[in-house]
Amino acid sequence: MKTDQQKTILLVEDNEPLNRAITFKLKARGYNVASVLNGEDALEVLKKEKVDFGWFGMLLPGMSGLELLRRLKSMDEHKDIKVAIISVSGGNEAQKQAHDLGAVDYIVKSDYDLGAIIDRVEKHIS
Amino acid sequence: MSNTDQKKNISLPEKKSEVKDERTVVHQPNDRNTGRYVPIKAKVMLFFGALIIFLALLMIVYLQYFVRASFRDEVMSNLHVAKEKNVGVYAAFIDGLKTHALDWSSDNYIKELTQAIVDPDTPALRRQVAVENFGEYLRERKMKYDPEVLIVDLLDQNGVVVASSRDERIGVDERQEEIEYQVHYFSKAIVASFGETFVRSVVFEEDETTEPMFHVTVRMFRTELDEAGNAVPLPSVLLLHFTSLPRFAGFLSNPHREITRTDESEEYATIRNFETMETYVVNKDGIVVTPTRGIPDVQTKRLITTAPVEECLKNSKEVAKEYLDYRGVSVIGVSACVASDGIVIVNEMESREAYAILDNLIRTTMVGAGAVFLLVILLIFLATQRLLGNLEQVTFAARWFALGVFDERAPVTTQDEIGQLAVTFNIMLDKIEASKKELTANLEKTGEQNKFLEKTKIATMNVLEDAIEIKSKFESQRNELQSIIASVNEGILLVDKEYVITLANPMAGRILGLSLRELIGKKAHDVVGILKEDKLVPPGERPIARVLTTSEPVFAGLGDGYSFKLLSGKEFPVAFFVGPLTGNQGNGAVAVFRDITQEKSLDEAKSSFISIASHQLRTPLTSIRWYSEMLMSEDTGPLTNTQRDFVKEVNDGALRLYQTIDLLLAISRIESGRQKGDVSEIDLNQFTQEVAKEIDPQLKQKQLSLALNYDPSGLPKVKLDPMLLRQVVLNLISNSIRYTNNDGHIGVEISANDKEVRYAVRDDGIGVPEAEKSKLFQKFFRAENARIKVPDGSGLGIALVKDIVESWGGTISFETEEGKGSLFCFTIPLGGGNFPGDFFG
Repeated sequence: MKTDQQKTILLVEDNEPLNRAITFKLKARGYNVASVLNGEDALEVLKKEKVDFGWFGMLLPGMSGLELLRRLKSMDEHKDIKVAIISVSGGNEAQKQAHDLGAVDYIVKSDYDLGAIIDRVEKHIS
Repeated sequence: MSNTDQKKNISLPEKKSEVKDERTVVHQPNDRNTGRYVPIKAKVMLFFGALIIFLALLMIVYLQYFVRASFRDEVMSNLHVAKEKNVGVYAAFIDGLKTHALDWSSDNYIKELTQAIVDPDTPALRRQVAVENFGEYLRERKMKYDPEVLIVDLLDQNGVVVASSRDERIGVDERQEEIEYQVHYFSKAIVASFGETFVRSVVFEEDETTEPMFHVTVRMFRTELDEAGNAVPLPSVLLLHFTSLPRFAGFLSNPHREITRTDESEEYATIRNFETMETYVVNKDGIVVTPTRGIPDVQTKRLITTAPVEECLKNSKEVAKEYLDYRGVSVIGVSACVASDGIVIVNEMESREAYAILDNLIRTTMVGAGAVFLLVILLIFLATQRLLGNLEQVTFAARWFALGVFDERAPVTTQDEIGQLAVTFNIMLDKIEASKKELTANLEKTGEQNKFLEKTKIATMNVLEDAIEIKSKFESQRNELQSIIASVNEGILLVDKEYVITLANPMAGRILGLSLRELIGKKAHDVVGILKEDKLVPPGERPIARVLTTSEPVFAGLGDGYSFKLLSGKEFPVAFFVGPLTGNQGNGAVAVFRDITQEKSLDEAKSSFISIASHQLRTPLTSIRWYSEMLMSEDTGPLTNTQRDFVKEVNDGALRLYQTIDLLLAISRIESGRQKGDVSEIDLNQFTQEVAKEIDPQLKQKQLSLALNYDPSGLPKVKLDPMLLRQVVLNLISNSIRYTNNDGHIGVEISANDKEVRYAVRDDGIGVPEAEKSKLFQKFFRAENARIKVPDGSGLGIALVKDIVESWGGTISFETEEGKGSLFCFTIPLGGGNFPGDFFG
């Protein structure tokens, strides 16, 4: 059930269990979630829906999270969408690249509980 | 020169050629004979022959230009003396003629007859008788006893012959003769005073005689003197025709011969007698009047226009020089010119005779030089035959040796250097032959003919080296070294300070894709480009340049990102070590390198394994954690207490597994050298305070105190990856927290010296049992007391710390006593920590 107040989060996470867990948790918090498993599907979603926030995984099949971020930022109608990269692993280089491409955050999944990650993401959304 | 010195010299060219390539030293004997072969014998003969000819030519030049002049001077002075004497003879002769004429004119009977003839008052008959008596008297009483007087004429005041020794001459007009032919001085005589006589040079008168004559005129005087005692002249002149030239010529012709023979007086002592010397007289008409030896048959009447005659008759000058005479023969002549009498007295001598001695000397010199030349050539031939014959034999034997015939020996006949050479050469040949035989024997034994032929060559060379007693030890050591270098599986290059490659092993050639010949002598940067992270390293920053300027070694390992770019364009990753080299020829560098393409790909495979493993292990763990977390937070409905406890165990277990995997991956990354991180300058005080703040919740949980026991002002900044340092310090402090009882104390101590920073974490925890200290750094090892205290530790933390510290070149150590506490201390070297890490590993 979608309302005007609901923010739409575009979730791109290739691991289905994780995708489902995140979607479940975000919906529980009252967000509208457009969840896809890869970058191509994410671009399709962007054509149809108004998205308020992007939750991108890092190592996606085909197009990587960073590549998806780069494409999004190159589209005038979508470049203002805030995006966080939530990866399974860290790495200074990847963090730096994500920052340079305009990501608002880079979160390593293993460092936090899911609840803690969503808390952190919510700060960027509001 | 001693024997050994000689040997050294002999060995030099061999040595050089071997430096290029030891295995290809097979010289063709003719290779070195680039110039034309000229025997020493010929060279010596040519040299001395040329020397003799040169000296002879020098002598001839000297004789021709210096001695010749002195010869001419001597002849000249000789001729001058002769001239002076001949002038004297001439003067005396003329005086004789004058006296003669004066004497006859003073004859009283002639005077009386003259008076009678010229007196106009004398009756005709009386004059006729006087004329007849005059002729008869002169013919019968005077001329009969004086055959030199040919004719005597009496001239009247008009110059007409009025009386004569020859009657047919009466009436002849002698004044006309004087005017036309200048035959005498009648006009002077007719007005002369007593005692004066006039002689006129010789003439020819076809009407009188073919002989040349002197005409003397003298004035006639009366028999009586006047009152004052003076002679009274008569208008008459007596003219005497003398034919005394042969006598005169007799005086002149070669007069000095007689004088030098008979008169030893000083005056003529200097006159030398010469064969071709002659003196003759030429009259005013340029006609020779005395006999000349040059034209024996025709004594007179020859017209001469040679230099002395021309000079005297035209310019009244005398000559003394070399010129061509009336025959056209070269003569040296000195003339006397009696211009008043129209007489030239020529004294001359053939140049040929003047220079006869000189010419003879030159001829003798040339003949002598020729003879000496032949003699010297002969002597040299004999001497060299004797001295160098032996050398030829040695050369002959050496040529056979060069062609591979070892039987020939040089005969030893002398005890000089050549003899020694022959002896030495023979010894050498003996040794070579002996060794050859030995080798041949071995060859037969083994039957490996081809290999042995090759070895025989090398062995022959070695024996040759033994024979000349040089370099064998050095060579063998060098060979060993070369063998070692050649067999090393790394590329090795030696370069001098100009970057020129002086030595390369086969592996270096293989890696660089060039033959050793192509490498040696080239500059290192001309054979290979060096890339760092795909960018070409500029010449000044290349490892060899850095080593040569700083003398500090440079290492590069798997993770340093260096590649070689070959001339062919091929690129591949390399690891290398470049170190300074000090040697006799100045400083240089040694570079050891290897192609790490394979290692790199293995490493990359490992790296991707780590990456995939990390992803694949973590993702399901994340699922476990998140779903257990969602269950615990009762998102899907309330749980019983037991369910919640169980789900928590799942979640905790997943978390521990997660941490263990993280540590394992971190260790793996450190050990593979991949985890280089971003080095930046770290303020240790600020850093430590940040860590303390971060760890504060854990401290508070166990009511532990953390003391920072160091002086912040004395700490240097260090250059490291802050993440790694953080991991080390956090791990050590976490361990202390974990293994220290509540209310315990933890302290951080930092100190520094010039070389390193010492960072220590001290606690008063449980410590490590003595027996287990040595295993502390083993992965997954956990001490007994630690396991009891904290059951779920991974046993990886301290191992990771050790790996990290060692990755930057530091060391880690600990002091501990069970039950009392521990001190873990690591060091950070100052001035960077770029160490060879995995180069040799």
